Amino acid sequence: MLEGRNLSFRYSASLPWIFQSFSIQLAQGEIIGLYGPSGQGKSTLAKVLAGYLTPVSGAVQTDDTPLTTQKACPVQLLFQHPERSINPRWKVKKIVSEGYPPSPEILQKFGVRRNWFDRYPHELSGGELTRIAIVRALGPQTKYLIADEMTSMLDTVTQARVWRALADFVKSSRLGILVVSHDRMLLSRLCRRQFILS
Amino acid sequence: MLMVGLSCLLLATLYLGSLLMDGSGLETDFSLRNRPPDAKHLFGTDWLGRDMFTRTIKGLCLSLGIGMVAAACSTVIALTLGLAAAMFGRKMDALVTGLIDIMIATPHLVLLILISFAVGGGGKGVIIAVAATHWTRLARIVRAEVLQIRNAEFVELSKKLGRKPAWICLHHLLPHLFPQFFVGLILLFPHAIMHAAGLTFLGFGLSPHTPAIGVLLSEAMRHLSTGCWWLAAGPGLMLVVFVKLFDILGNALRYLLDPKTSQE
Repeated sequence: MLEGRNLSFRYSASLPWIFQSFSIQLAQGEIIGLYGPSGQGKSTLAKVLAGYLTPVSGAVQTDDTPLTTQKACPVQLLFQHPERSINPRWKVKKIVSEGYPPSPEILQKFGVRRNWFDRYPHELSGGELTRIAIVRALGPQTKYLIADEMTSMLDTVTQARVWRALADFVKSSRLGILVVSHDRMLLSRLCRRQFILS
Repeated sequence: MLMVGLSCLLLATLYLGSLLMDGSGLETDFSLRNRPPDAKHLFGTDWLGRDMFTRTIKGLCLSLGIGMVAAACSTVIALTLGLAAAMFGRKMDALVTGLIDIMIATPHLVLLILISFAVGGGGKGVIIAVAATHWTRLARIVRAEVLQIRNAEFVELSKKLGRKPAWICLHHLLPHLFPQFFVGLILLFPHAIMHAAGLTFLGFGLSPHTPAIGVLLSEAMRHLSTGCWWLAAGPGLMLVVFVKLFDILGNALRYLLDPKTSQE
């Protein structure tokens, strides 16, 4: 269980609160949604849950232990802009295997082709980069995935394809996914439960 | 690609040529005074009968050597200060940026002359003066690059994937800095040569017997009015050609190291 308890965050003491006393639970094998209009702090909350930001008060725990900062983190964050979360100077092979060596099955499941391995990120499209970023995040230590507007830059066909592959993966791997989005249609299709940030 | 190959070849030829040449062209021979260029003396001879081609090649090689040492020192200073400014907090940053601003605000040539004069002139003076004044631009670039990439999403994500800071520095940070750094070094080189030549030309650099490009050109100035145009034309042209070669090399390198163009 990934649990955020009474989370409050603001960027500095002189700035207003972004969210206060927000609690959220995500079990393994579950897909839940986080909805909120633009500018309500969805991305900030996603970063807090993944350990990129430390909450001002409250705590984030996985299975009753705080997030590790030394080893690979069990909570992985997928960013909205894959081209920014990928080193533009690396070739695809090095990018997908930064955390762990991905198996041929997982590459195939997300449609990451071997012949991309020799290419640079700018030679691939946004959808292809998103899939690469997903594969990179699915290391053996990963138990929870936070997808922060992951597919909002993609067209609907590609969007559907990416989510179908990920939903398949959840069934076989007991991964827990938090889908952060301002798209209610997408959330109601994917998730059993939804949290609302407002 | 052709241009790069040609540039490398020319530089290698220059170096080998100066190694293979014996001192024969440098001796004075009053029977051969002030000869215009011909087949035996490609760049003519000077008023002491010395072969200008030999002097130009030797001088250019010396100037390139000075340029290399000065450019290398400059880049090391630039990298150290740039990294320090970006990594060691606000005070250090303010200090380094302030120093850079002061250096840039001072007239370049005056600073060069002052430093080379202060350390006693000669080859040592030229090298120290050029090395101590050319690091500013590169230091700024290094600082900006480190600041930018330190907070990049893919660097923070690398930590979450369990990578250690040293690994991140080696695989994310350094490869990002390397092109700026290396291209900066190559493009600094012609700058350093030109300023070394300029200092010598003004009389603050090398001693008059050393056949450095600056010395040759400053001597040639005195003889131009008597119609000995070849004294300035040969060395001047060679200096321009070789400085341009480095420019070509630097630009080609930038092209190769940028992932957007490297696979073309």
